[in-house]
Parts: sequence; structure tokens; C-alpha cells
Amino acid sequence: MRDPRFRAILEERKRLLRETYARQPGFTRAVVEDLHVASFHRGEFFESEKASAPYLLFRALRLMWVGDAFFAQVCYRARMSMKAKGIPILPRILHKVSMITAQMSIDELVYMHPGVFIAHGQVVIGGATEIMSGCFIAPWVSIGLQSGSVYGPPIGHRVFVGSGAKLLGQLTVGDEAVIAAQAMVSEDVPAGVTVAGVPARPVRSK
Amino acid sequence: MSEISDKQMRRALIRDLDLRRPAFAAAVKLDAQFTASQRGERAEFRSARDTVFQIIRLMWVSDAFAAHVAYRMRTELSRRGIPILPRLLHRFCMRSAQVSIGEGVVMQPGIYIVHGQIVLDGLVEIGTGTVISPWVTIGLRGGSIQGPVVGNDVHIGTGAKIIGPVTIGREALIGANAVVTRDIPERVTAVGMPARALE
Repeated sequence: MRDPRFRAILEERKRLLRETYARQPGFTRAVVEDLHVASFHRGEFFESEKASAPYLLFRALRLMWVGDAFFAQVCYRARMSMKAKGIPILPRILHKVSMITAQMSIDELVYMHPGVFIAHGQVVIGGATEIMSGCFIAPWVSIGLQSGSVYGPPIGHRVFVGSGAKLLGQLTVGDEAVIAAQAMVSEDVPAGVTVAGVPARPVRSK
Repeated sequence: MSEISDKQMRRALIRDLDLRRPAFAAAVKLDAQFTASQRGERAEFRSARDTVFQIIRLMWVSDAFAAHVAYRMRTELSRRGIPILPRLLHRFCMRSAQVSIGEGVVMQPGIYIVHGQIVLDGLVEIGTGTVISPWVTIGLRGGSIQGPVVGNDVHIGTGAKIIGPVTIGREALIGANAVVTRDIPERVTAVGMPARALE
């Protein structure tokens, strides 16, 4: 028998999945934005608005080759747009590919806005959360949920998530916040504040 | 002379560990049931055919279950003295879900590896009903090969590190990013760096 505790959660998950698929960004737009943000963080700035399509393709292929996680991120984007179109099997294979190539395991419930930079991979993101554009996500990060809920923590614009940081449960992280390395965040982080430690405490604010 | 006896000791140790490890089919069935129940899915399998179907389904939908089954297969094959294949299965575990489990580890049946990304090494024992989150290390401190003994129904949070010859009591909760270097009693929540018990 199914645990009745989980039944409500599964129902909610199904509903949220439908919502997430309905508002997925287009594949091309998402990849171009990701490319733009990744290039900016890598110090290879270029103006993607003025660039021609072949040049963008060249930049994307180049970043897939030289970047640790960009290929996996493109796989993730492809997987989500396929899921939104209802294509079976292939999304799961793309998920395995992004796990194998960059240890990236991002749940289908997650809504990643276009323009997120994942530095090297090694991230686990789960739950119904939203990651705004301009975020920087370092390795060994978990952004996820606590048992008994499907809601993860929404992350604001241009947030820096340091190496090894864990953000768990229903909290919100404000715009331009900084999560220090190895921080364990279980409470809300206001905009522009730096938090560090286990459990994380504010150490600096803008 | 002493080197030979070292080798014999090592063999005896491995034989001893092999005897304590669960049989493949029973272990995979219990793992599948526990994984399904933790995922909020039907955990009671109706027949042998249903069991096989559910195991294959979990290998497809769950991040780490394929690696988990490969690990069970690997311990079974190395118990039977089959060469090369166990090492290949270990490589598969590391590739598919970054699960790296050493030869000295005894995993009781019925364990849930949430997404993979774990390192377990040394003489470690993991009890039934344990949930292991991503980025967990259960391993050694320098100078000893005795690793942690984790009791039944322990929940290990994401990024937690349990190192050295410590004992984790049953039904304990290890918080995210905790670094455990001392014994944790039963039913206690431990958090922080170094980990301390919460009330």
C-alpha cells in the first residue's frame, strides 16, 4: 500500500510538474542566455544581442568543449523542453548524460530561469523551486527539500552559491545574496546579505 | 614472513566481510522496497514478476538505484571469486551516479541512496533503513582502517561527513553539512561542525 502521507505530496507534485512544463523557457533562448551568463562569469564577455546565429552556435560549442558543466546544462535544457513537449524516454537519457558528464542532477520540478551559471557541475537541485537568472552555482551544492514537502528554496537574481553550500527546505534567498562555502542554510536570507556557517548566520550586508 | 601473514590476515578479513554481506537477490528486493517507500511509491511487490519489473522501473526513474544494484552485484561476484567484473561494476557505479563504495563496507539490505554522489570507505557497516543523501562521506581518519558503524534507520543529511571509528545510534538524524567525529547516541539529531547533539 502507498503511504497515505505521501499520496497528497505525489498529487501536488503532479500538479506542480504540469505548471513547470507549461512555463519552460524555449530551448534556444535558454541556451543563449546561459551562454551569455557563463561567458560573463568566465571573463569571456561578448554581446549576445548583436551576435549572429552561427557565431552564437560557435560560442556554445566552444563552451561545451572547454567548460566543465555547460554540455550537461545544455542537456538539461534539451531535456526540459522535450519534457514540456511530452517526448518520452529521451529526457531520461539526457538526465543520465548530465549526471555522467558533470554530476548534475536537477529535478524536473525545478524551474531554472534562462541565464544561470553552473561552474563545474556537481549540483543536486530538487523540489518545486525557482532559480532566477544571473545565479552562480559552485560545485558540491545541494538545493533541495526537507522530507514531507515538495517545495524547495527559491533563489533570487544574481545570487552567489559557494562551494559545498546546502540550502534546504522552504526558505527564500533574496536578490544578490551570497551564500558562503560549506554554509548550511535553513532560514530565509534577505537580499544582499552574506551568510556563512553551519547553521548559516549573516556575516555581512550590502 | 610477516608480509605473508599480512596477506593472510587481509584474505581472512575479506572472507569475514563477504560472509556478513547479504545475498544479492534478497538485498536488491529489500533495497527496491525501501527506495520505493521513500519515494512515496507502492512498496509492496505482488509477485516475483512484479518485483523484477519494479526493480527495472526504479533503475530507470531513480538517480542512483542502477548504481546501487551494480554495487550489490559487485559484492556478490567478488564473493564468488570472479575477477575483473566487480571492478568494472565499480566503475559503472562511479560513472552513473558517482557512488564509490569501498571493499570493506558492509551494507545491510534496505538502504536508500537518494541521488548518489557518496563515498564510503574503510571497515564501515551501514544498517537497514538508512537514507544516504548526496555529497556524503562515510570514511576514515588517518591511522586506522576502522570506519563508522551506522545503526538502523539513520537519516544522513546532504553534505554530512562521518569519519573515524564512531558509532551512530539507531534512528539518529545527521544534519546537512555536519562533520561527525564522535559517537552519536540513539534517536539524536546531530548538527554542526564538529557535530553536536540537539535537544
